Amino acid sequence: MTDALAALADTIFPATDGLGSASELGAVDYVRATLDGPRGRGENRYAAAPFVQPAHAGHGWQWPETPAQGVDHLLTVLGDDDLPARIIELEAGRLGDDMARAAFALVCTLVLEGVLADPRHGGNADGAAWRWIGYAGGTR
Amino acid sequence: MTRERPETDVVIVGCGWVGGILAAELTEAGADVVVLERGPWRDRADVAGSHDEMLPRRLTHTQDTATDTWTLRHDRTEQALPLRQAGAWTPGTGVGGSSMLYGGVLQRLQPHDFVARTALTQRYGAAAIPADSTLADWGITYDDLAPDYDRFELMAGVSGKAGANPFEGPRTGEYPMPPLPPTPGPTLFADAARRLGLHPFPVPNGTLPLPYTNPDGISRPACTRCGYCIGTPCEIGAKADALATVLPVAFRSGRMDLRCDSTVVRVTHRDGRADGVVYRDAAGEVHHQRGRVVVLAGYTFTNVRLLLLSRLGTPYDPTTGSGTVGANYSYNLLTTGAAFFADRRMASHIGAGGAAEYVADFNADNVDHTGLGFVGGGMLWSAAHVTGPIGGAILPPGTPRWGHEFTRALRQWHDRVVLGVGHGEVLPYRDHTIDLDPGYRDAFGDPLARITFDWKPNERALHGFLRARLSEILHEMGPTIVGEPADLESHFDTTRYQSTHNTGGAIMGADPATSTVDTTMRMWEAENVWVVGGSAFPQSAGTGPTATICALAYRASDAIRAHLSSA
Repeated sequence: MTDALAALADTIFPATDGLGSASELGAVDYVRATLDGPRGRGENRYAAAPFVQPAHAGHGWQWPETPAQGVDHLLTVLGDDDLPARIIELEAGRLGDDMARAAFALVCTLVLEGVLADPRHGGNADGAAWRWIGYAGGTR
Repeated sequence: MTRERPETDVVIVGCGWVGGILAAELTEAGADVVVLERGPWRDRADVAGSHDEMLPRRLTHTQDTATDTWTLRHDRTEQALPLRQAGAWTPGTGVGGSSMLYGGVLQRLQPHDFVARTALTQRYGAAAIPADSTLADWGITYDDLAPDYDRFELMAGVSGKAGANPFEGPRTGEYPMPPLPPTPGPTLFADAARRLGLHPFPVPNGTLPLPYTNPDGISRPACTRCGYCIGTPCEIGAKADALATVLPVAFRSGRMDLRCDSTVVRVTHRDGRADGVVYRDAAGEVHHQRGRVVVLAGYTFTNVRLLLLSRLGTPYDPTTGSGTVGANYSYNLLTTGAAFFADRRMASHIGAGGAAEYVADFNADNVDHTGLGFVGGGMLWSAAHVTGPIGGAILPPGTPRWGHEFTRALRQWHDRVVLGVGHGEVLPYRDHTIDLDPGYRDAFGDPLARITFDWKPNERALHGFLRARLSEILHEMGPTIVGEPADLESHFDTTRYQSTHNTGGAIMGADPATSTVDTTMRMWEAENVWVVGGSAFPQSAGTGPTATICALAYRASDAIRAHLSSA
């Protein structure tokens, strides 16, 4: 069985010019741990019903699904064939729905965190991404 | 079962800047105070040495929206929806409140801001102010508040250079501390602004460039420029916060009883007098704390909601204009652009986060608004704004957010971007209000605060004006690429961080028909209740609110002291 989350993360952050991909940097472990943890379970979110879909933008995540459930939905929408093409369709609004698009934005953010956060959080193995972008403030 | 607690002199609800200042001032005057803070105790050791960009990103010190959040609707016909997590604003919780999280910018309002309605009417005629705006004079002038600004600045060790901002109000002397050391990005911004004939200046800031001992004998060290102070406490107390400055004064008096994890749910009152507050402790036990004086010292929404839940004061009715509690809600608008320099690094990991170069030329009524189609103004600035590599991942317009083009851009532009920001005032309007939500409730079953707010034509025009002026500076900086400041979204976006500058709802003024509190912030309808904070602002200003909130706390402390000694 393919690892759909890792495949998506590596499409967002592929190996580039000497730096490993999201999965090679441990960023996928970070994303998975985050989605399995309090943030993914939405424990910091106000979770009382009713869940009402707003008439226009500006209200953020108003679905009853947790962020982790939203990402599961996204992975179902994207499938595992030709991810780049499917993401382009998703972003253009020709594939999926608003929750899938919100979940994609969330995964992009989590991948970026996994790549660039302090290695103590499980990604950015050995601070490799910091050295690669030339971040001068890291301690590794 | 409610546990009765013996009467104290003053019950203070909330332990941020306002609660801390009042606790220090009143205990020094010999009063006993009980401070009730719904968040936890904070210890600087919790963050010392962590240097972790993920701390602010995880909102560890922000109000817990899982238990108490706000609902928002864009107009009165819509159903309000909850902010399911903090986004546009991130008020602090726990001892020190938002003072632990802000950037340290502590700038006075301009004299104009206190008399905006009168001044604008005189200069442009009453028709220049939108007909549905409830813009109001404060009932005090800048000169009335200047001594309280002085007290606060001396206490906090505010850094700055008198006269560097030609638009600042008169002051009696130099700032207690010199400006923070410059950083590359803001310096480029200031140089460009100067070439355009503007008047950039290092913004007054509560982060210390040098060690400082204040008149209370409280010593704090100089900023080490580590860069971890936005959205997170300063690990050494170089940034002025309540825990580093006023709370030690209250503690050493032996007269402050600070109770954390204690959520005030009602003010108890009858016949225009409060006798105390009801609160829940961490174990869920309910207490009635009696006090001769009750002070609401919470965040804007917290203060207003507590008044409404307690049926204290008269709720505002926007259809008739009667009542005052919940009226004159306002906010700040924000516009952000970027200058990208292919061949230049900005050392953006070094500095005090709030160290910034500001331009006040377009603030308040500093330019002639004749023919501009709006009233009001705003500040332009560039701040060191040290955020680390994740927050600093700001890429040129049109860059995808995934794939090789994205990853290569991350590397190409890391530390080669300077942000420019415009921060404008927002008029209050008859239908921009804070009330109680009819449906959504907090963890205790009480209604959430409901906000009715959206961008209106005056604010869209001001935003467009500030955006154009900001763009001129960004281009003058001579970068490789300018990331143009974006237009305002079609409806106010609760998810994009803009500012925690929410104001109004229990405004001060000289007329009890149109204000909730008098010019000392005592409630017109309750002789021993003071409501102090951003909630007292009749409207926002182009300048951030913190220094003014703190000056108002000093002003209120004088009135409370006089009340205690006369009662």
